[in-house]
Amino acid sequence: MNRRTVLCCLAAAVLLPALTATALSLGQVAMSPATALRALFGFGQGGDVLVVREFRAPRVLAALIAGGALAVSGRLLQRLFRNPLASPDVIGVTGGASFGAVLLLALGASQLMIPLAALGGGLVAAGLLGGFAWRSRAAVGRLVLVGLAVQAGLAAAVNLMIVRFPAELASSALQWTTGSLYGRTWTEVRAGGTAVAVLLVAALLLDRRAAVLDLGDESAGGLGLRPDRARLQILLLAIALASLAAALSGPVGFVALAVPHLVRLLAGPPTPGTLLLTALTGALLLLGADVLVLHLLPLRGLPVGAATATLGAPWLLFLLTRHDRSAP
Amino acid sequence: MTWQTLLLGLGLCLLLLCVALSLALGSRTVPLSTVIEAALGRRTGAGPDAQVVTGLRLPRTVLGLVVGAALGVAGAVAQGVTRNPLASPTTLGVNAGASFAVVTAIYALHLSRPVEYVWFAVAGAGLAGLAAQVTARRAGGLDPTRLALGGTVLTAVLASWTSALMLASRRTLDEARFWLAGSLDGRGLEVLVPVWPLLLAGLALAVAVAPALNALALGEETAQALGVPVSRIRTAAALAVVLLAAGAVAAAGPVAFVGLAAPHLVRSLLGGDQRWLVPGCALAGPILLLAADVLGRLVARPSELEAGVVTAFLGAPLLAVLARRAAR
Amino acid sequence: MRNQLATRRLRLRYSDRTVVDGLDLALPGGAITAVVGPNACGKSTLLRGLARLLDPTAGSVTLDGADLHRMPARALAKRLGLLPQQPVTPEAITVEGLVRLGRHPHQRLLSPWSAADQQAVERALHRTGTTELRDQPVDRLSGGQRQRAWIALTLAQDTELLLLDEPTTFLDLRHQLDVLDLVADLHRELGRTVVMVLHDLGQAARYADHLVVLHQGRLAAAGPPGEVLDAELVERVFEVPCQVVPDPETGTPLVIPRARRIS
Repeated sequence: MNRRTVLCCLAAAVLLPALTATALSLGQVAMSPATALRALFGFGQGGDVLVVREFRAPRVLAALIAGGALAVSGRLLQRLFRNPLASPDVIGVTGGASFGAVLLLALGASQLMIPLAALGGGLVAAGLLGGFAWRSRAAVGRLVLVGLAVQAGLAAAVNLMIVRFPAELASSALQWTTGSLYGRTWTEVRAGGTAVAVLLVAALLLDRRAAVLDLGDESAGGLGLRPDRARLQILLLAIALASLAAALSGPVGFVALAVPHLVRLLAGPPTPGTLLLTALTGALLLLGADVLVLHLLPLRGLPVGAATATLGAPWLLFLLTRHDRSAP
Repeated sequence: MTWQTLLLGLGLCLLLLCVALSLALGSRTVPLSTVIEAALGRRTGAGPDAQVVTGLRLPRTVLGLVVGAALGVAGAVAQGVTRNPLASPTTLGVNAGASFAVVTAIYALHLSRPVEYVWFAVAGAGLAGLAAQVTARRAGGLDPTRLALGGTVLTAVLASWTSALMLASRRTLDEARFWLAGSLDGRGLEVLVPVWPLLLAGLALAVAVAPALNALALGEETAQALGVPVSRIRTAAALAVVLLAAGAVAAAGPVAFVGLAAPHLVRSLLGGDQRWLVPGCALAGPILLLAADVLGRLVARPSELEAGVVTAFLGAPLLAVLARRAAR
Repeated sequence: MRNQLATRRLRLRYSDRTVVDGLDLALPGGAITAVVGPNACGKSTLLRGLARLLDPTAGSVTLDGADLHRMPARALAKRLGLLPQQPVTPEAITVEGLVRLGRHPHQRLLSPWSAADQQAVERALHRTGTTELRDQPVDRLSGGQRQRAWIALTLAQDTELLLLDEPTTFLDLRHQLDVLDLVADLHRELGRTVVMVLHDLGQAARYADHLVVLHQGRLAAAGPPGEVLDAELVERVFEVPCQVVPDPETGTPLVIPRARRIS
């Protein structure tokens, strides 16, 4: 792990609790970040504990988990496809999750079912991708094209529903597809958090294989790796992470696209260390955006996806231009 | 050589068939004889049936032809210049720019007719397209990776702002969502008036850079050695994409899938030569769009589905099947 | 004899065409074998088949009598290393980072980087003379340095058998000889078995103990260079009239093409 990665990880590790505490402390019942952090673990006044643990913590934790999962999913896919534009959009997961969620909205199902619908939709889309693209070998070009097709079809279905819905329903559908952390529960956060943690460990373990895969199929084969099998493992991981994230926060596409690039520009080429940094940065970005729309901006009801993109884009573009000048 | 000409000829026949169907079919049943006579200019204005053909279906068909061709060619050039199969005119931020401008206009100026949107769409599309190019400027030339990445980031930002505006104002959502789905209906030929020059200039540029893009496909250095002015060609090609896509989005709203799918479909049939790809996409684009439009009129009779939505439903399975059949 | 690769009625094909057909071949263990032949004769395809990157449509490949295609991938990778013709260099990877990847077959999913792994990497760097370059990004190296870094990766794999696909392409004369000398040292000092595809017949004759000549996917000749390489064979396989003279330096056969258009 190089020095810049370590420094960035340290910075992220300091920022993360600070931002979490701030996020927990903001709201109608004002308290200091330190009080909020104590209340999260059940210490302090009963009222504070109730507000923090019951109302604020699920949303904050959901943002952290979803942000990290989205960012890692984007990184896995960009590396796998060797394409800087890859993100869960490309494999249809975003479209599938949106389709599932919006469909259930249309059917009038309860809010509690939406995350499950998103998760299911994402996995179904991945299944469609597999059904069409898998043909004993996982050629990258075919995966990408079929993924695009699945995504386009599902996105069109969502679009159609938004156009056809009554305005009220169209609005909540649009809200969800832009990204929304509203109404998260502890159950969702616990289940999602556990699953994402397991998948992150798996991603770290598979990082070695990803590095060997970077050498091209021939060299990877010569080193005893089955390229197709390794690709499948990584792809499944990315799909699961993106679907879980979509269930928690809606498909915030920008995190998955931009965070891997941010990390690459900050800390250099992919290593297990930068994988960790990617997760941390994604979590920070999504939570920061959520704090922004929830507490700092005068506009009510701004979707978190809008803030994420607005917050992340200038940063990414700045790094891109700076990186450019230092390049040979 | 000959089989490509043959395929293009077949494509032309298919296009003519689509044109004929687009004139003949719709929610109102018009006798074929009336369609033919009205289309040939006889009995103009005589009877409501003929009125439907000349007054509604003819402009709509012309619009489909123009917009489809523009999007197809723009897609071919966009993938050629970025050398990225995930690229499309959308990648350069054009559609998102137009959408944002139109939605802002609806929000702030209370516009409600597609004809009034045209200028805003052109301006928004042009500005966003140029902004994406500015982010990609590097040492006097365009960096293709950064062009694609910058454009995608810009798209993400503008799309999220568009959603935010629509979520903030129910009236805007109600007006804009139909335009945003992309449709040939109710536009009238007057939407083409301001965009003709853009489309013609874009088409001329696209044809002019096609051979040079072939050379660029061999790599920057080889292209340079072959006497291709690389940076100028890239700028011209990106400009062509912006012009074509801006014209198309202004006329029909953001139809995303044609520009992405047409080049892939044509490439799997005609091969990667840009000189065949451009005319091929000029045929495949309108075929896809008109077929989608006709289908949209038929499936939901007496109502209609937006062409932008149906294109994806129609094109996505096609793309998936072709990708499956492609050798690699 | 260990590390003996053999093929029996091997047929290798890509989806649309058969490249190697009915090939019976025995490559001696503990020797340097050079595979030569005109372009598109199936040299690289054969190497892919020997490294199990390509499944045969008929026939078999055996390593010391065991069917190669029934061995676990990792077990095979501990015995047989491959340097592809045009390897993909990951972005911004350092020489040491690249060479460390060669240890992949020796590592399990959870096993940490061991002292033995590091030693193997150090040995590989040292032997290829890339120790000083270890922290340099591979994509900024010269062609010769880059090729040595890739050979180091293959050496770190610590296999007794090495398959090299045109290891001297794109290198100038000195670097070509450096690479071939390195191969010769590996064989002489460490007893490695090497199978390499070469283009230069003179170099093949100088460095190889065993020569395999392919022609249109079939075996044209095989044996010690001194016995196999003659004017008749070269003319038949490469369609180049020539004379074969003893190399003034080594006495191995040297192919001198006939002058084509000297007035």
